Amino acid sequence: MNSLWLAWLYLRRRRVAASVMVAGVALALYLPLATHWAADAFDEALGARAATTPMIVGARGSRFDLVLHGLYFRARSEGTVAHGEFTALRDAGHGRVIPLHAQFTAGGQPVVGTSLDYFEFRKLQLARGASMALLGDCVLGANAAQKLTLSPGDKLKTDRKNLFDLAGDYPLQLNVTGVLAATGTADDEGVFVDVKTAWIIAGLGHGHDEAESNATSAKLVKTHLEITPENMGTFHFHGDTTALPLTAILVEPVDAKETAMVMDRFQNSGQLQALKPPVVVDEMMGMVMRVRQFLDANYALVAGAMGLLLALIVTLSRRLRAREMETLFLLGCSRRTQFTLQAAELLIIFAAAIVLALAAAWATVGWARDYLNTLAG
Amino acid sequence: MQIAIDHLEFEYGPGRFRLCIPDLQIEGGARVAFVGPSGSGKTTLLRLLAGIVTPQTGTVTVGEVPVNELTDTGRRAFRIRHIGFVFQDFRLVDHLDVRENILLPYRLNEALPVYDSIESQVKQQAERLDLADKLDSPVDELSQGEQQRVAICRALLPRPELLLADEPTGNLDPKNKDRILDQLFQQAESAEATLVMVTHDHALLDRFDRVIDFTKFHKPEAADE
Repeated sequence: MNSLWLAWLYLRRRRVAASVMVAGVALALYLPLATHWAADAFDEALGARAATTPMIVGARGSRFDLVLHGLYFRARSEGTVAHGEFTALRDAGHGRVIPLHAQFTAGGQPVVGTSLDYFEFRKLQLARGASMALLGDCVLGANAAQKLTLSPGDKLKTDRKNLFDLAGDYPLQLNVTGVLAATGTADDEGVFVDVKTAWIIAGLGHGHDEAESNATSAKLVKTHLEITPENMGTFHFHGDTTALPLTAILVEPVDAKETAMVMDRFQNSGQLQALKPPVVVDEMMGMVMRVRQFLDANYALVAGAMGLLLALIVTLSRRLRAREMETLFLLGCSRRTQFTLQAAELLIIFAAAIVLALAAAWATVGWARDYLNTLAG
Repeated sequence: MQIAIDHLEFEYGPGRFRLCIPDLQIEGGARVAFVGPSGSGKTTLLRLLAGIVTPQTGTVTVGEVPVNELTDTGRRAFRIRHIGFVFQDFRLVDHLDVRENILLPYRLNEALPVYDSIESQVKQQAERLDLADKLDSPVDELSQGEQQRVAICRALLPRPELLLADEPTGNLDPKNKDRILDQLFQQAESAEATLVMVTHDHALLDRFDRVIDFTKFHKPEAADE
């Protein structure tokens, strides 16, 4: 106990040097810890999300992008799937089929056009308010509501895709009708609307105001669209609605046979692909693990170098403290006690470094989980 | 605690400083001053008495114990239990404050006997040496005189039976010099301890029971033999 106390007094007096050593050791421990924990957290979170999402259908292109889009609403610019494909799948009776249209954001949060089936599919519960029922209604994920400080009854405008494109789509003012209970998944970040509302945001449908005329007036210069009880009936979509786009379709086949049939349906399609997210995520994590192995080898080198550096510091420190050690000897301190004193100093440094590294790694993993849920963008 | 030295010969290395003491007896409880020119072996004899170094030949007996016949561990244990040493260069540990420097022998040796409450002992000893308000100060912020008093305080705290002091008043002003000597003598007397002190200050010698001149013990060259 006395050794620890004396060691503490020594380190307290030489706090700058001690802090540098603690920081160095903590860094050497933090890097592999954070990498392992973050990779494990990614694996766990991605795996869990993928496991509850049996199948995703979307445009051909990067399989990873499509899966991340379906799971985390990550923006994707590799084409769309026609709404007609959704109705065809639904009518074929393969199982539950859910449309997804996630191309826009509101207040920086992803706007997810879908159907009420999505809430049932993900087992999402309303914490406050009511579900979306009308065009222009939206339900916020728990984090989205907190970040945007919105509650049921509030309004939320979608973000313009290009601020300088005056001829582009107007932002749509959404009515917040409900807030979902937190789930710790990407759904907490979403702004959920009906898929038709998403098409209106995309400029594929529109309504007519009574005040509209050809006259030029400041009142007629619109900064955004708003769906009101007065104009709601005028909103409509031109052309073939089966051609309207979805960014993905989530499919929950009733059994293995239906799964095989859906896979077969898209096997030879030139434009579309059906993916099993658990398989794709496993492949993705396999790549992450290989990178982790490479990093582990590097960390072993860093740890070795740090160990040598520490040994050098301890050796130099013993030389610099030779007089102090001689004093301790003259006062009756045995060589063993001297060794114990220096070991106690190292123990304190390592203990502090381990606590620091664990805290930092824990914070990093927390950040990594949040980051995963905000992959949209 | 009496001291007996018999046919002691010590040298730091071939052809280097050599100390030869055929016979020296110091009675228990005596106040003895070692005098002599620098390099005559005064400090060396203190280190021999404390068992920090051992002679090549002869015996050093402190109390009833032939110190030079003990093992390293035995000498260390003997030094901790029976001897207080005030070093010429104080030997304070600069990252510790005054209190911890005084307590250091206790921190390093849990077997050291504790009289009453060690904390109150430290306070009392510090008050006697005018250090009460410095207990929490870092030692490197103290004056030389204050550092010397801390070193004395540390040596006196375990109530040693033999107090060895290597020029303890060398860095003190006349007023403090007398006070420190009074303290050393008083402590030695109350503990019935033997006090052996190296000094160059001849004005102090009247206060000692015995003065030993080291000129006769020093043999500068081995070839003289």
